Amino acid sequence: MIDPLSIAVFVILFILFVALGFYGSRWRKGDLSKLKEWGMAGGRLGTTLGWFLLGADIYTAYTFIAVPSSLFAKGAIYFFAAPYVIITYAFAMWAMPKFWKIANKHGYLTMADFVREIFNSRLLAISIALVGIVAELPYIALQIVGMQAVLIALLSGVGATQTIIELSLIISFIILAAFTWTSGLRGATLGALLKDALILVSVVAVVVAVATLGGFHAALINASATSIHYFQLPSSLYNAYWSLFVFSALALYLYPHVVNGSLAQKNPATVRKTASLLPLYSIGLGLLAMFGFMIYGVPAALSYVHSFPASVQGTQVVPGLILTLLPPWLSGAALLGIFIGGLVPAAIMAIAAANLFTRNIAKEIKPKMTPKEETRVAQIFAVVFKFLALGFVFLIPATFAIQLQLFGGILILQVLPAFVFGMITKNLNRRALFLGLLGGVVSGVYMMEAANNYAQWTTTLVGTGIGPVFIGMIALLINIVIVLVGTWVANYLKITNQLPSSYVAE
Amino acid sequence: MLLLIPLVALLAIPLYNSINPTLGGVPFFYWYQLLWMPLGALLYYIASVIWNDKEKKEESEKRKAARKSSSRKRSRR
Repeated sequence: MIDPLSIAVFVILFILFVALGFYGSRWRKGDLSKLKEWGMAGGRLGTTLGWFLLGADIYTAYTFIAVPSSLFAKGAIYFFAAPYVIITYAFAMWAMPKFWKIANKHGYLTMADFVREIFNSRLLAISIALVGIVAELPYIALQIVGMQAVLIALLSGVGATQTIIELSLIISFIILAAFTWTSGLRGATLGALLKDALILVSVVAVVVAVATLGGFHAALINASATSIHYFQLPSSLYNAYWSLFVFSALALYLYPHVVNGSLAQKNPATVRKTASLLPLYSIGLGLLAMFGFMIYGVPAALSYVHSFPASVQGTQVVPGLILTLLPPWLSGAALLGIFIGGLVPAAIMAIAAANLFTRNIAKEIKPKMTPKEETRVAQIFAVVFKFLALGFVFLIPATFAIQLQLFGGILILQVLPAFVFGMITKNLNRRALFLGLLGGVVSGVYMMEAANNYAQWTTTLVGTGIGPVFIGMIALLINIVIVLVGTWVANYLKITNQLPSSYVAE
Repeated sequence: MLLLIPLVALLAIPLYNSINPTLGGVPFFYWYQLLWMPLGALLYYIASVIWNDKEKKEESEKRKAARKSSSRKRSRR
């Protein structure tokens, strides 16, 4: 089924990528034993590199595998990812430059550093760090699913499907762990450049191929014949659609790895400019998402996808189109692009989670650590988190991998009150914020489990009086209500945050 | 304001939730939202230039004011 040439190209480019990763550790020299150097590339990135780094943070296996997969399985509702990756940058243009300035002035490296000081609460800071770390895990798991999908496609010529699926999962994981340990954020940024070039070329090539084959018209006819709503939303899903994209948009710039990527840029003006240009990147996401129905216009790709068990079918949509439409050398390159598209973000996320763990949890326990010890702790935990992430892979059929990212979104949204409101006012009660966070997380997890009947996750929507909506929105509303009511009660009882009088707000 | 235009355009789901007019076989629902990506980038970019300029001016004014007050202090001494 697969051409040996594709595999050869894949392997050669992968070696090139690894070489870039190692070069990255020496590039723009910095002392890699320092946490800020390993974990934030020293904080000196300009617009172009910052753009690529954030692009790598944001356009991941989510874009390449999960969105097309769920669009294929469930239809137009999952195109919510397109408006999501437009409007999120409006939020970013406001929030990130603001946070950059605050962080720079007070020497914060993480969101939890900021929350700890502005609300004078260790408990709140540690909880925020924990939620940030746990929210990264399903997102990392999603990247592993993406890498696995590529390996399944590459190995599908040999042996039984089930063995391949398991084998490819183990290989993906080992490569990921080794890569993160050695190169830190610099290596990842250089890798992102290669990935973007490969993906861009192959996406354009597939779209052109489908268009010249007359595939769009065929897809329109063939896909309309199925029972899935591919081309229009049923009106019952309007509220699901906007709640998914608006609240995913708010969630993105709360993820530790995205905040980290923003702080790694050289100044606030750059942060804003970079964010404003990122919707251009989204065009690739939009086109890739459309692969989910375009496949109906390419019968060979469709039958390829149908040769896999339903649980992984969706993840083979993009590899299937690539393998059937592109010449072998280009399909090898494209598959490598998607593979790195999971590998690099997973590394970035694990690094961010490890940064957060080291600074805001380990240091609370053992305050006196040398810079060298700090970096070592972060490196070790980056690996530990990947193991934990692996656990999430088994919670979900691969075709529905997007639910991993959405679940991460439900969790990370809960830090919004402390972080975002915290940048506007410090007049919120710290205990109310903690209870709100707790209420949001618990209700979010509960709704997630209940909506899926306590079985494998296939949805993040919950039925309400206005039809199904995104669980993240409901959980955040519960959180905000607790924060406001709690603060009101605290004010009434004259309980304050006991801020040291020396602290001056922004 | 510029930041809100794409949001409003995308929240108006009933406006674009249709198959026709298709563009090269692509339903309106898809190409409308795709179109907002370059449009959004353009609007956001203009907004970022204006916003950054404004902040730069504010900061230089703040610095001037700070310099004045510190020089005043020095002269008092």
